[in-house]
Amino acid sequence: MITTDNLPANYKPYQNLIFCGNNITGGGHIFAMGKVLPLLVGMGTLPRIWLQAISAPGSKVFISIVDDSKSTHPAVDVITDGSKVVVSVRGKTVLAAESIDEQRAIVSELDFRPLGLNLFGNSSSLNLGGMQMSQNTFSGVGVAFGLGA
Amino acid sequence: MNTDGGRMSEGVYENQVITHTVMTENLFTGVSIGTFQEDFQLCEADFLRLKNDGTPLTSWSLNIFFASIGYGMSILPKWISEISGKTEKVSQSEWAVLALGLAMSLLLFIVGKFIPNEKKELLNRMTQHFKSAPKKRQFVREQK
Repeated sequence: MITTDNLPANYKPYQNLIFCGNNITGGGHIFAMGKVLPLLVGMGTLPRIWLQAISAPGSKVFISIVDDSKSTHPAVDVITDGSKVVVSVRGKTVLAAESIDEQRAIVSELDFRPLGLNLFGNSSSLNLGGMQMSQNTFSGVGVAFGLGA
Repeated sequence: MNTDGGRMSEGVYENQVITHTVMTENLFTGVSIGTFQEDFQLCEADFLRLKNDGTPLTSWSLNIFFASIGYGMSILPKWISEISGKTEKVSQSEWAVLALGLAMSLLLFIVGKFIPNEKKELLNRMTQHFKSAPKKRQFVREQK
């Protein structure tokens, strides 16, 4: 499991990540459930993606389904298109990320509902279980969104 | 406007500068990724085959084997006399009966091993299935 204490060696956060219309500055993590980090978007020529999903209903154990932009699960596909990385589960896009330059990237599409989390968003706003967020700036946070049980 | 993070309820949050982790709740939808192996399709006929002993040859082989041992025990005193140099001896026909019993038991046992046995066949098929059936990962929804 990828946690705040166990980060992939080759992961470097973007200093400026536009995450579904919200700006996360200073290299903070996007999501955390306790110490578990379900999604990492790291710096690279293309954004480098690490994605974890819940392993069993009702469980809080996560398994890796995308490791450094490579699928580790038969139902998951990672496609690169120019500067864009698209992760899909059974043909449905769960994440699309694009690099703007070395320090900046943008997550323009997100839908974690197939992964067991009521999280989705597009390039302008993010919806977290009924809470809608757009054009906010997260400044110097360790973690932008804490996922409660 | 600064938001102190903490627990935020439903609503729309726009154009804020957030300096703390935003806590969210009730995001789990009960869907997950699980590992599953294909079931073995056991029909009732196969179940009955499993409950059966399979071939009766093996049990007959055992019956004759034990009978032969019993018979061997009964002629044992004669044999002990024979090897200790007394007049009483095991006759050739007595040896023949013992040998015949053991031979029949062995024969039935070997034939029983080679005759196709439905129970054994089924057990082999099950072993093969669980060895080779692919383990599939699939999305499962929590049972309500």
